Amino acid sequence: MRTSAVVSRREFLRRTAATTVGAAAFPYIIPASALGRDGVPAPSERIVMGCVGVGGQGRHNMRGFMNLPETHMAALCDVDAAHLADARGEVESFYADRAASGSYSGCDGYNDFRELLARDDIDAVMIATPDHWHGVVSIAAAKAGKDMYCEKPLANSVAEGRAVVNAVKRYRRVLQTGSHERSRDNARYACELVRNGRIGKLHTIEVNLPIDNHGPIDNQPVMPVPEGFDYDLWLGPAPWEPYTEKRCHFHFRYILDYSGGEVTDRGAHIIDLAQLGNGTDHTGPIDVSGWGDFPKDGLFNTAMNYKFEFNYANGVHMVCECKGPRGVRFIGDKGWVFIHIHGGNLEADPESLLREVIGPDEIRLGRSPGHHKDFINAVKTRGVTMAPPEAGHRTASMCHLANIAMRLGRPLRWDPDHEHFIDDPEADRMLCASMRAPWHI
Amino acid sequence: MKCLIICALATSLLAQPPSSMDAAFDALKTYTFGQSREALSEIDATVQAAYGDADARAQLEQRLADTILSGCTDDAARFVCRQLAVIGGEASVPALASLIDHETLTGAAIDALERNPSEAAGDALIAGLYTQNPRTKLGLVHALGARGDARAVDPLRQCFLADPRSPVAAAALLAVARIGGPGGRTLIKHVLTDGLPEVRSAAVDAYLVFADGLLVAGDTQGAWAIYDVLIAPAEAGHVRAAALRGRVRCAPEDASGMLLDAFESGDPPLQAAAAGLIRELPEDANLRPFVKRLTSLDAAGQLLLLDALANRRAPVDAAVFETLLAGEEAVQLAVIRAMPACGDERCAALLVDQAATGKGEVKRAARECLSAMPGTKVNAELLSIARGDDVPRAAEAVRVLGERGATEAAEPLMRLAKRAADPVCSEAWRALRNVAKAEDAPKLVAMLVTLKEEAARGNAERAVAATAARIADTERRAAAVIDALNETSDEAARASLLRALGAIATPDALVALRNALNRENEALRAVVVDALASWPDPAPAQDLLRIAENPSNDAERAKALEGCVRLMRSLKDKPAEARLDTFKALAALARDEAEKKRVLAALGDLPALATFDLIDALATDPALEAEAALAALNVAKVVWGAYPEVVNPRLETLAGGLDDNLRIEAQALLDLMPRTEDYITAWRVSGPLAVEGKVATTLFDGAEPPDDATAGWRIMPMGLDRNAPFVADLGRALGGAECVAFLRTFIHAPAAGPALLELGTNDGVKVWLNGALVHALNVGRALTPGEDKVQMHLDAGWNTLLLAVFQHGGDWAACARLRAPDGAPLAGLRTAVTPE
Repeated sequence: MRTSAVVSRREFLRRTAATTVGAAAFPYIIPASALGRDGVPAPSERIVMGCVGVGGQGRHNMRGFMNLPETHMAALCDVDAAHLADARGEVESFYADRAASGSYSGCDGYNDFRELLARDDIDAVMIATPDHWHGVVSIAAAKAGKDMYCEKPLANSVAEGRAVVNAVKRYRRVLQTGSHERSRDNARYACELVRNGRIGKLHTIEVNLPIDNHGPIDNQPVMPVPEGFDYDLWLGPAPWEPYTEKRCHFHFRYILDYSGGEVTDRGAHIIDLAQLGNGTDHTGPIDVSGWGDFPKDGLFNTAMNYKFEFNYANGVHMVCECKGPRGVRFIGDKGWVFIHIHGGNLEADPESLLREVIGPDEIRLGRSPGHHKDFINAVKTRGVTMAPPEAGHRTASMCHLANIAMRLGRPLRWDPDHEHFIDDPEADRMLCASMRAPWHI
Repeated sequence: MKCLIICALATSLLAQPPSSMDAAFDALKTYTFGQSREALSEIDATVQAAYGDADARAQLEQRLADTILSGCTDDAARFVCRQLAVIGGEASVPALASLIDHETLTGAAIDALERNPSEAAGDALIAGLYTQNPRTKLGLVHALGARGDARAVDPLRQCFLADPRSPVAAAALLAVARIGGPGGRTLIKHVLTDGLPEVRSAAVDAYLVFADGLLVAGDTQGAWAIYDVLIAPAEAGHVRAAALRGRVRCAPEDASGMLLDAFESGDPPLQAAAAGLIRELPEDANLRPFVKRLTSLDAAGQLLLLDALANRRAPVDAAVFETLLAGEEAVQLAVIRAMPACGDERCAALLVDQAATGKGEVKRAARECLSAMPGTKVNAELLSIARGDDVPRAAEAVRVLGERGATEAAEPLMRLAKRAADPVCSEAWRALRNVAKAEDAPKLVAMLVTLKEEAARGNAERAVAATAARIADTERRAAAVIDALNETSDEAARASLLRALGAIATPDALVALRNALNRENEALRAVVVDALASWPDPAPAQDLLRIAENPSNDAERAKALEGCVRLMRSLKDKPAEARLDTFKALAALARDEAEKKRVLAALGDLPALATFDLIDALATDPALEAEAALAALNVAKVVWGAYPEVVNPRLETLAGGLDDNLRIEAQALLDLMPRTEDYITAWRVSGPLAVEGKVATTLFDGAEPPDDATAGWRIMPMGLDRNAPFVADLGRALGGAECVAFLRTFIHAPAAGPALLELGTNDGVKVWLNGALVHALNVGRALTPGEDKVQMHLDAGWNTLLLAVFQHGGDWAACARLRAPDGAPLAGLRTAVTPE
């Protein structure tokens, strides 16, 4: 019999904790010897997760992680007690169905994410709050030694995004931005076609970003805060404003204090693929200009129609318009390829491009086992995710730059290395979002 | 020039006496949330337009500040703070400072001051620190930290000392760290040395921030000293990881040594941090020392290091990999996954070994990695193994050459396919499917005709078909096979060629197979029928029906029947009525229970009124009752809107049946049917239609009623949206974007007269009544029932109502009903999908 030299992840924890004051849990690889029957990790070896924000997309992510055998969902947090109760019920019945006893009650609920992050047994957190919380929670998670899967856009301002990247780098954390379109095989293949010159020299990227039926709405009345909803905590770092129902939950994305409208919402998916195909994950454009129709009245104030453009140092021009079909077209001097968002179907001209084989000696972008699974794999190997923090930050930055240029109504020159506008200190003042105390980045 | 025009506009706006700006500022003073914010938008636009005009900006800043100082609502003050956050200078500081202690405006005021570049703004923030409100104090502390104003260090220190265990104290530590300087360092060090557990983690974070600041400023010695403290085993793992990263950045020339030491320390947090940091070493960093240590690490270290080295594509000698492959499975897998990035052609043999002899995940990973190994030399190495005597390894190498698309190996693989015994022969044929070129097709056909290795026959036929598919000219694809068929009399070869024609599936291949039907013996006829029954499109459906009607034997009849049913089912876009006769014939031909069940299942996809009679005719056998009920339910789901009177009693019967699932579904449909609210549910649909290069809005202008001969009108399934069963949900029924679909119904009016069409569509719509355009709206919108109201005049008898519904993206739907001109219900109308 061979004795394994591999130390289990939990044993690592135990050894480390013995000499550590207030040590956070330390995610680590799961060696084969720790696997239980059928390759399913033993309970003590699973990545213990918590979720911050379990409404729409948060619930979807929660299920995605819960269904991975190597994770265990131990805690949830939401400022809406109804969301929290629903989600906890779902987690507990999920584990109850798999428990010999038929019951389970080990998923704790929190109103305040700081309590969840303070738990030593949590290895990684999923963050699906409204956008204005992304930066604050991510940075706190990094400081608490947690790895994180954070919904897109990575942050609500350029400065927040840079602070997230710095904190993640500083504490050597793993972060996956929730730009799951990156994990589609078709999208990665299309980007490989572009990166390997199959469409010739790339010169233009067209981003189609239709807004569907989400138009402006009327001014809304002040309303009493519903029972079980911690409105002050929902507002968090955002400026104080009176409660009205359509400020919160799904609608927040059309109010500039909390998000950037369609531009940062699905724009963060499409521009993300544009960045991947252009090979500019680590940088950004050198100028931005655009026109946006921002409602002059009513509650919503994000752009409802828009056209904005970027130029890159590599000579590529990107233009984004509010039109369908939703997706990104890479145009080169020998053809084009179009990626449809939310489905990943491809179109190309010539059509034969889509039968091209990427050879072993060409640029290969790898394939994802799924966006959630990819994150867990990186947590185990301390590796790099499909949507790493720098890429997530650069994509979100482009969305923010577009909104700033459209709001100011003038073309802006951008220094992607130092992340500030050139000769425009006033525009620079819009690079950070408001931080209402006690929150900060 | 553009800027000058904008400035002129702003100046003129400000100059208008009494301007709309006066009115806007007046409205601003009393603005509260929920009121119109048009005045605020006007001010915002003026502020933006004044960019570049210092005088105009100064006037606006003062006016905004005066709005606060002269008294305004909280909501107005909040708006002003937002404006001043972007344009404010020294002039607006007093107004903003007056709000620092305000209960709900403190955050907005501090935010505006934080971004204000004037020294006065910093003074105001420092002065505000004497507030008694801890939340305000926190905001001020963070703002001072963000501004990096060295004058704030001592006041922040005082804040800390005033209550050193409080959140304000923790924030003050971070703030002084961000500002930098010896005062801050002393304070943080003091906290770390003297305890204070409430703020210790904040002090650690602040110390790291402070050190990172020193590093950026070039004080590596000072930074190192801090990292040296924080790397101590007593600190948390992620803090030690941060400290290790800091050390590496302090002394990049020693980075490799430090990371090696971390790996060898057996200290898990440092090992994991080192694995991550290897990825960040400079591109030209020497990674050889890491590679050398691979074999001496424990398994956990090996796993981390292998992943990191693979990320850096660091070359690893095949001998090192070979040693590591003796380890446990997790290490084996890590080695295999690292090989494409770190290995060279010498790894190919190792991987082939694992692929040929390994099991489970190891075998799968080895195969995957063999496909991904870069370098043309890998193909040469694989070819060498393929030619060897070790049959399992040779077969594996041949298989991989195919997966790698090694077209340069086509000729050697053809030789192996000719001469080698199985399994190498089979694998060679399989590989040729991927690597043979179009011009190789005749050679492959010739090889297929003389093939001796029976086990390879299936792969050989598929290789011939796949190679033929690469011939650009469709009409030439089957030529070589047809020529060979005309020349060979060998029965096995003819069978292979016939099967290959079935897989090539071009029109001339179909002609050749039809001809063969009349010439071949019974065994080869069976091959032809198989090929026709597997045809990828419905072209041979009627051939199969004729075979089923006049078979040579019962097996042939059964196969033809099965194939015909499959092909007819695939014609879902064709109107059900056009398929009905074929299905009647198939129903008559079905003999045993299995065949009848197959036909019944297909009838469920035939949404026509007459389908119910066919189902009834087949369902006389009690053994078929369940299939018949399911088929009837599936038809009812689509046609209930068109024929509610016929469907209702059938659903009543199903709802009273024994099968739980059917019962529930039938009852759900019955519950749905009364909820149509007088809307038209008898629709036929045609489309979707799209035009290359056009979006829905540009498609709109040219959209005309479709030609009946080509429209392919079929019954529109209703109730797809259970909450609104009267909505024709085109998105779910058809799918598509930037396109149009047509909905048509016939309306019987007892007498001529006016009527009101109440219409809702998502997105745009055109409406024709009896061929005349009566309504057109090119719009993107959500569906609102009755949003459009169109006055029309109905003829006595049957009228034709036609809608073109356009799809921009997202949801796609329509609903319509007819009312009296005043909106009251209109009695006496009947609607139908076909005029009676």
